[in-house]
Amino acid sequence: MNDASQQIIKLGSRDELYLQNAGTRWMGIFAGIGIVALAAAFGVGASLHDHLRQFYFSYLTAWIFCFAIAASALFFVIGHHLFKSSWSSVVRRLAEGLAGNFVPLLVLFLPIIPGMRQLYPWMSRMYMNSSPDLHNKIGFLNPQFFALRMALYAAALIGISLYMRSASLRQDQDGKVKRLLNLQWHSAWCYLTIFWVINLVGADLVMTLQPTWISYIEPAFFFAATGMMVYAVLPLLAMALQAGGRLKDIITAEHYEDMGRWLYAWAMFWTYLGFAQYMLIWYANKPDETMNYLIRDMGPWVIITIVLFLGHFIIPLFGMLPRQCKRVKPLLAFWCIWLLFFGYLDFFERIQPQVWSATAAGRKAMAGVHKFNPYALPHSLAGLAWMPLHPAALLTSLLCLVGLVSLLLAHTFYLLQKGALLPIRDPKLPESIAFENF
Amino acid sequence: MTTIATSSSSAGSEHAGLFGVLAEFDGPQSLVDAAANIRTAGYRRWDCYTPFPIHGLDKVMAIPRSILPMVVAGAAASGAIGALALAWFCNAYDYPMIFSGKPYWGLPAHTAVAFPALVLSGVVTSFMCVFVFCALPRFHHPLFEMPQFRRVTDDGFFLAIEATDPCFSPVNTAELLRSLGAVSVELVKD
Repeated sequence: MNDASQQIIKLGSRDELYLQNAGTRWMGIFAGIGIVALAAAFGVGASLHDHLRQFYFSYLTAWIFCFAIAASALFFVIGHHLFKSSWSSVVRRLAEGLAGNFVPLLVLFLPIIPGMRQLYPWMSRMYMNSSPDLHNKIGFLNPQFFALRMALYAAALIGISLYMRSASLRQDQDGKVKRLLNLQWHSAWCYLTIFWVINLVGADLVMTLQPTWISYIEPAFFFAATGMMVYAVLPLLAMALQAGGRLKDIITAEHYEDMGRWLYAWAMFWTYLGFAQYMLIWYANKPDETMNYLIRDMGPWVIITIVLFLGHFIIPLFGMLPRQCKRVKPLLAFWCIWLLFFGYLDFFERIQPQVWSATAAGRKAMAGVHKFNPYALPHSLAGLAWMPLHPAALLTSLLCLVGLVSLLLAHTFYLLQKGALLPIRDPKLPESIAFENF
Repeated sequence: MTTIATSSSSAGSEHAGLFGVLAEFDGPQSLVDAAANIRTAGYRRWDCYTPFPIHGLDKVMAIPRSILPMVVAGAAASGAIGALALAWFCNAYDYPMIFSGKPYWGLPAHTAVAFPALVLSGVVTSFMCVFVFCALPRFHHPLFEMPQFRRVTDDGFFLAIEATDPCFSPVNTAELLRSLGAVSVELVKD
């Protein structure tokens, strides 16, 4: 134990390694913002007089965004153990904090349940019986099996994230290397499990918004969009903590550079899968598949599609390329915020074009689209496509986003202030602190 | 060549037959310290030889960033543009053909070809440039003549200053290296 305590002294004073009172303060501030913003979102959503349809879509978009942050953080922590990487030990505890949000996320999912009938057309058995193809999907797309799947996902996410975090915190206490080895041993099956859970959440919560549409790449595409988030949030969190005097000489430009590289790589991976899906659907040109893109070609959505392509791919491709963009804190912060914005816009474009399908006219057209001419769809529904882009609807989306992200941060700070900001007895920590890129 | 130490002829053949001077240091830190001093002394053509990468050595040696990324970026871009141009010439210009009802010049289909062409030309250029920039293949190096240099892949830390350096002088340079704490300093024949 002597070695370990000497290490703590070397790392800096207690003020630099623990959040202490600042954690409680930030927790209160974010919880306050979150509750007020969510209440305001509900108010604005109710004032639209659309049976809260827009509110549910906005809420689901924001929830998916928060889920992406937590799930990617969990994937990052497991990956750290699986690959026995050492550079990321200094940010591991922060990622564990972000990954520990699945219990609040489960609670925050409850408000979606009353809106399920509006969000997901497959909740209606009448709709599912309206065409043979849909009828064949009833075995998967039914409320009971959906609830069972959600319970399994929640169990996997909560169980694995609790294990990852608690074993790490216990190692802080007793310094047993065995705990780290156990984490590494279990990381393999955890990695696969979480990979599939993220894919399936994408399929269940996002892809089934259009029950007529199936794309085998869409869950992987959702996974690519999700996986990027932690690399945009972690540097910002680390910078905020350093501005508050924490971890000052511990997280260096070398660690920021690696996080920036991962951010860049995931943004490009997103493009790769997005293009793969688009190209295959474009080439096969099957009505039930092209429908997804026809909707995103309607009215204003085509502009968002193009802006997303530029902002998530072309501009970062060249803008983030210079080394300094990942090493200099303000530059990296800019790109983190940039890609968080476009990451949100990506989820926005996956989810909100479906608002039209929740309307009575949309339901009718969707049933028809499967049997008749899909190319009649965009023009007849162009007016409905605008709905999520009206100022009040956008405000609802913004308030939902602010609300849920604030609550996520509040809980993250609650977890972070419970222990040290570093895995202080991780045997790899000295190597991680001394880490240098060549 | 025994008279090199006293020779003082014209710059080109000043140290004819001499590769430079090789100094051995007892550890990474003394090598890093010596490298910092060699750089401030104004030497240009010199290098450090170590059994493993040493943190901070690149910085004190002031090694500039490689131009390799630029070369690879250029090659990758020309690979992608070349593939697109070929696809355009074949499918859209010289012999237009309809494939499954797609336009002659359908970018999504051609991107799938342009991307591997981009990767391939980038990777091949990168691989070749390593040989070109490192002046490989090379079958012999004067330092290999030195028996103590064999330990460079095990536990030896070396610094060699080449005779072509404008600041080089067999006596003074060796003296400087000795004053920087070198364990041994020897002249190396070319």
